[in-house]
Amino acid sequence: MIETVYDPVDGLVKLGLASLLMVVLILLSRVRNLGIARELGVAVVRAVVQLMIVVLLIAAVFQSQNLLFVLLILAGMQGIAAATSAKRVSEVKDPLRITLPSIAAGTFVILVVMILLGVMPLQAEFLIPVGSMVTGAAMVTCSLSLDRFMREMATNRLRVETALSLGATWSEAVEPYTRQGIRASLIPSIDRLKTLGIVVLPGAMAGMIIGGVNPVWAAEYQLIIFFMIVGAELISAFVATLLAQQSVSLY
Amino acid sequence: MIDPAPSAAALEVARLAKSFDGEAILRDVSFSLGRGELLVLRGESGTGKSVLLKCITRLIEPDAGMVCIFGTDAATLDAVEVRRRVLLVGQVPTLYEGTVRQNLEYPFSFKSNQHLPLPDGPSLLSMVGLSADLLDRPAAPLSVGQQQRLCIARALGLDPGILLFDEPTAALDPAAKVVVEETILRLNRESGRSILMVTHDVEQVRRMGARTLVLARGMVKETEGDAG
Repeated sequence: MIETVYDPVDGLVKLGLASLLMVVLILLSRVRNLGIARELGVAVVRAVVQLMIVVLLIAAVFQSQNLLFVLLILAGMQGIAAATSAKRVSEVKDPLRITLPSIAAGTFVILVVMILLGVMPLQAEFLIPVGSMVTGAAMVTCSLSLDRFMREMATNRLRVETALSLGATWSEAVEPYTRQGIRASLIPSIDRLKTLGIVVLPGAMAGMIIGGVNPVWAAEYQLIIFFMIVGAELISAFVATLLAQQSVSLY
Repeated sequence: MIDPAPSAAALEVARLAKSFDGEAILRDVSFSLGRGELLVLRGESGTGKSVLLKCITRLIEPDAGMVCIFGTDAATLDAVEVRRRVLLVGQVPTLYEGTVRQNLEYPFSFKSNQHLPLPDGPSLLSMVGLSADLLDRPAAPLSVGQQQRLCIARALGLDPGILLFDEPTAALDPAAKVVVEETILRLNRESGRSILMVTHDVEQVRRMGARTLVLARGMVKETEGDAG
């Protein structure tokens, strides 16, 4: 069991020991000539450095409790998430115009609603970690919904054209494919919800239990986070497909 | 609908032009389709036949020129309204999931068609030579020829003033080709519909026996005479 009182020396020793496992894996992959040793090594170093920088930044923000810094961090997350998602929809001109509002809408609408309902306190300790989880989920859904929508549009080009010829408006003609995009992007979340706690203990809950929190409380928080994630995902997918349908054309 | 210009041609195309990425596909296309006329427009592949039909129905907006539908400038109408008056039947039979009946009724799910009465399935099918027994069967297993005739029946259900056929037999075998050609001829003869059909097939032009125009290098070049 991990102590709830943080001892920096003990923490570094344990991290060092866990890192040995990665060193062994890198050596093994080199011995077996898997061709991933270098990439794995760089990934491990990047993970450690990135996380340490973020932790120092977050610690400073926690200390200051300045909501402007919290907003800046969340805004930065939106930008990076939007740029990542935009790479998935290169066939759309200026994809950031779709991904940024979609991810931001998903994240901020849900955060604001939860704050207004009093479910989540207006504190950096909650806003940053929960905001990052929600942003990450909105990003994945945005990418999945756009990818599926674009593929459906390519496959059903003739159907869209025929519907238009038969008197459909553009939104009526593409609506089945918008729906497919939204539905497909939510499948992972719905499956995760169905198997919640049975197949795997979700990350936040597992972390809280390891950290010594009452499991019931951990479960409550996990459910709240999951509902927020699904809400953000739905909004993100909805906005993404809506904006995408206005950005694509048949010819 | 009140006909705004009872003496006007069904379709009047004047100086229509369209380019894609600087390449002129249609340069100066002018022709007219009389009321109740069957007009065939022949052209080799890639001469812009499909683009022309899409410009007429405003699936593609032309760069220049004018299209008049029964005397009304199409540019003054909403694009959806243009497509309700001039209905394009494509080259590849395009159906949706479900039965033959559901496919016939599909266009009536759109707002622009909701004021129209639902079509009489058996009579639509009979107009294109299909049996009413097919109505409640899935549309997907029909032969390609039957599918194309179903597409024509679906278009007829909307009672458009003008029908445009974009190489309607290109995807069909010779026997099905003849059946679809006969269906189009019958529609023109019996219901007096104004029909513009495009094709690349010289033999088909002969079989249709209608006034024929040729589209080449982005222009309607010649009239091969009335065959009537």
